[in-house]
Amino acid sequence: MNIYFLSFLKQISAPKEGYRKTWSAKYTLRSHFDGVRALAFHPVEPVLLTASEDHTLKLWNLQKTVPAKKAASLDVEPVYTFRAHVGPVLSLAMSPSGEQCYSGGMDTTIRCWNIPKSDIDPYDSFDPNVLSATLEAHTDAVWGLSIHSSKNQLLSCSGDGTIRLWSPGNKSPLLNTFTVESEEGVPTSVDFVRCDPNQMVASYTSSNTYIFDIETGAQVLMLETKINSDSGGSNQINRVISHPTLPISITAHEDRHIRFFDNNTGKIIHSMVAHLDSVTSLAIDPNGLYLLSGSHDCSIRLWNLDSKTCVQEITSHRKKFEESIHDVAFHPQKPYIASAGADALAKVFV
Amino acid sequence: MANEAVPIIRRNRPGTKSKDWCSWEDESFEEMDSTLAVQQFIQQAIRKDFTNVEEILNPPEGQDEGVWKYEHLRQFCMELNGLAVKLQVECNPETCTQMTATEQWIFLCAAHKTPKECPAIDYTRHTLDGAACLLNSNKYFPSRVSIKDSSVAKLGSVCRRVYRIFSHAYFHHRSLFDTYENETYLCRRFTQFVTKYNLMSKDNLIVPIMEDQQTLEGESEA
Repeated sequence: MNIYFLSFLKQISAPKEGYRKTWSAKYTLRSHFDGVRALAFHPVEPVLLTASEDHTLKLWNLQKTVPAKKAASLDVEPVYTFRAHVGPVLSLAMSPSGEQCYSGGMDTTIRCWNIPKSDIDPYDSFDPNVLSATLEAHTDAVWGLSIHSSKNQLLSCSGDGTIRLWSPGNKSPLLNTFTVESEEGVPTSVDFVRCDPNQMVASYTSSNTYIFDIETGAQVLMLETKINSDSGGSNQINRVISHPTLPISITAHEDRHIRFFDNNTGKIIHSMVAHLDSVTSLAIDPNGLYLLSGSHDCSIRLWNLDSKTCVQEITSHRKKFEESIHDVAFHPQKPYIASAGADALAKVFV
Repeated sequence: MANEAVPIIRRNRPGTKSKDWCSWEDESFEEMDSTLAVQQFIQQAIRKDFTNVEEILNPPEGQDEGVWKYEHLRQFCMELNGLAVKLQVECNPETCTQMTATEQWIFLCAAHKTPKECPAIDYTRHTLDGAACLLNSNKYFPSRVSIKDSSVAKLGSVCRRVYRIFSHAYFHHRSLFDTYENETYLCRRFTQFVTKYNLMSKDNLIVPIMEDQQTLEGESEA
């Protein structure tokens, strides 16, 4: 066990005494016509955004509810529908202020949106200024977006094989393009390294994962994700996220595993069979105590990051073909978690 | 495991190129065990050949007709987002101040407490948003496997309203309409759908899209 993992254990031991939160379904978000691919919470308010294969994004205010059939849960109607993408919307990122958001689509574009106020009349007049800009450079579907909490920088990864760094709002917003020469796969997911503002981490369909220096564009380190993955069949990484405070990257694999890696050595710290089917999505709570995962086995699971044990499992979505859950999220401040489903629903738990 | 045929896993994994989206082998309806089987089946037929309207509207044997109509209407509303995106660029509230097709009728937007004369682009957006609300309503459509007759009866009015988006585009933004129609065959499919299932009266189908369709002089109620 290396030194980072030990400090990792010391720093984040969950409260031992008695109370542990159990999450239960509270809101069902129905309005999309097809699979929900991504979701993101507002940094402060009880508001979230969803992005769907039905070509739209929707804005939801959890305080505007309508009573549902089951007394325990509430239905929410969206307050705004964002239309501009041609085809499925695949990825989403919310700005740290909660005033803008960014969406990546099958149509190769990234759209920059000004988010309307959450108390807007859903049937107000069309305001063309909600779409503030379109970032164009990718030549295939944009599958992953990540935003930096203070630098006003956005990372995107695409089926065209590239990762790009943007400064939305700039006259020439494209700052840099990253590729790996020897790499045969395409990037699937990208994240800023949260404890080192000059680094980012990206995972690939080949099950490789690299850390890049953002300034120089150079590849700094290759995490040992591939040699630690099952070798047979399709074994791509579906999501990579950076720990909020420690030099640790966490990967979600098609081979049902979640794996933890040391950003300094590239070595594996921990590996676990996390679900009964491919793991599609990951999120960490703002305190770094819990990990949330979503899977095509229809369930979301909550993990204690200290003990690496599953503390809760919730069946959340139904299958469309062989897909079930595409994304999960923690609210940055409020006790909400959410899941996005291939069944066109999003669910919020409290 | 090693020697067995690799089963087809129908997934669009992250990183999938747009040309490979849903590019898996067709699955027969009998093999689809999901509660979303009808949607899967319809989308599969559209991907196979979007111009083969007849085949797309041909239900599997024994399919409940209410669910079949409901899922098709969901698919129409979803694809109409594509037409709305095009209209947002061209259909200006200052020039298209009202929802009209021919001069005969001004359509009132039903999304408001008191229906009002919204500009065409707002009418378009509000109608699609309202349809998304109704078709996803837990009260009327709690299940996608069985639907009450009283809820199926609501589909006709959704069809009448969303059809006006086609007719406005056809009569006021013809080249935009033609481009979109060539890419999707959506108005053709919609016209055949509402005709096949008697969801709209023939008098209301004013876009002369079908070969055997005569241009009609009169239009009926809003």
